Amino acid sequence: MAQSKAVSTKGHVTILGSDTRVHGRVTGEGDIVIDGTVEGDITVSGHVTIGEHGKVGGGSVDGHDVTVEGTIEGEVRASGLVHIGSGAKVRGDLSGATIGIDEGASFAGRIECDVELPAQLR
Amino acid sequence: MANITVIGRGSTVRGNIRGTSQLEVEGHVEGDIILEGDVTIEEHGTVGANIQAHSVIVRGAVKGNITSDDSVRLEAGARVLGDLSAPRIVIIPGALVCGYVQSGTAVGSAVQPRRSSAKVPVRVEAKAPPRAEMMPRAEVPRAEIPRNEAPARAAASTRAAPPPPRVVPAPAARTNGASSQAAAPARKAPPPPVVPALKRAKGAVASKIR
Amino acid sequence: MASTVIGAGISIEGEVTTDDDLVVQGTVRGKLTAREGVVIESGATVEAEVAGAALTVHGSVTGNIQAADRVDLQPGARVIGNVRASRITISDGAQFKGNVDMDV
Repeated sequence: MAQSKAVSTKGHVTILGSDTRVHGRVTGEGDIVIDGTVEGDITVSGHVTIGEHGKVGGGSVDGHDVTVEGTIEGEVRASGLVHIGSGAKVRGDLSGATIGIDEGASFAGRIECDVELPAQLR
Repeated sequence: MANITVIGRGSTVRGNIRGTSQLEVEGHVEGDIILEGDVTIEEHGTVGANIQAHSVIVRGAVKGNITSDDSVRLEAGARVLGDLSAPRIVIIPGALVCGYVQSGTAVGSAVQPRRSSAKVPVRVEAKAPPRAEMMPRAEVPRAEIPRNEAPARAAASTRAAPPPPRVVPAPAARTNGASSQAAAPARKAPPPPVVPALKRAKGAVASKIR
Repeated sequence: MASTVIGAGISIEGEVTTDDDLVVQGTVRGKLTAREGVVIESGATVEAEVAGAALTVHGSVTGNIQAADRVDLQPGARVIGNVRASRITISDGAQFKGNVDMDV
């Protein structure tokens, strides 16, 4: 579901299929869907989707929005939404304006965001 | 289940809350909550201490760590400054949380094979206390619960700050990585790429601890 | 549609390995190894060693190209590097500088 959304929203879409492996840095404009393996940093302006079979390790993931259904070992930073889906396994810190974790996801790491507490708790 | 305690709006409790019942907080609690039942922090509820319960739902604000042996659910409007630990953690977009979060058990098992063996014992140690604490909790009478608090806290703190212990074996891993890389500069073995990868991830985690 | 597409805005520095078909519209620097067909589209920039079963180049490649089956340099292609394949076509309008080794 998230994948089809990522594919349809922008003109530039990069898809790394399940039999594709990248060892190095991925940067640029547009959206990216990763069903394969990336060892290295991913920095894109659009939506990053780590599909069910996708694996990212050895670097950080930066995007406007980041959706994870697969496995990430490393930091995830989004200016918008970070969404950790139910089958995802994530180990690393998260930061984003909005963070959602679905039931069933495995996650270990810090969540960084601005929490404005009510007066009683300050 | 019929046993429900409600801290109503406008009520403030200063002191720890312990027991077996279900708890709903619509007011303010300034003290640890340790319950065998379920805890719900409602929209206007505020808790300025740690919460440990069977399951925890937060729609209000919490400044403290939340530990559950079943699930923690942060709904829209929730604001949590503290660490979360539970087998199942759900964060609805719109909930805000700042802290270390650990959910599920699959993360450890999925990641372990990729880590150097030196780190495995550290993880096992960190995982063992919460499980040991959870098992007896179900059968032990409620008088025992306060006693469990200390190991639970200890467990929470080890989990809350796992990067330091994990950093310890790093020099070994680092030197291993460096020497194996030096010995085999060609990319014949997969380990060298993985080791710097872990180093980086760990460095990132460690650097986030202010 | 190929299962791996490196889109126009994207740049990959490092090594790309795939068992899928691969389409490059963006930039790859380093090494590119595919088991199936590789299409380097117009506007794509590849500065890498390229290997695949069959390679079709419409864009720019700087680096050696090796194909198990064939290499086709299409009009508009710009290739600087050596090409090694059993079948090679260089279309009118393709720019090419390098050695050709057809494994005769």
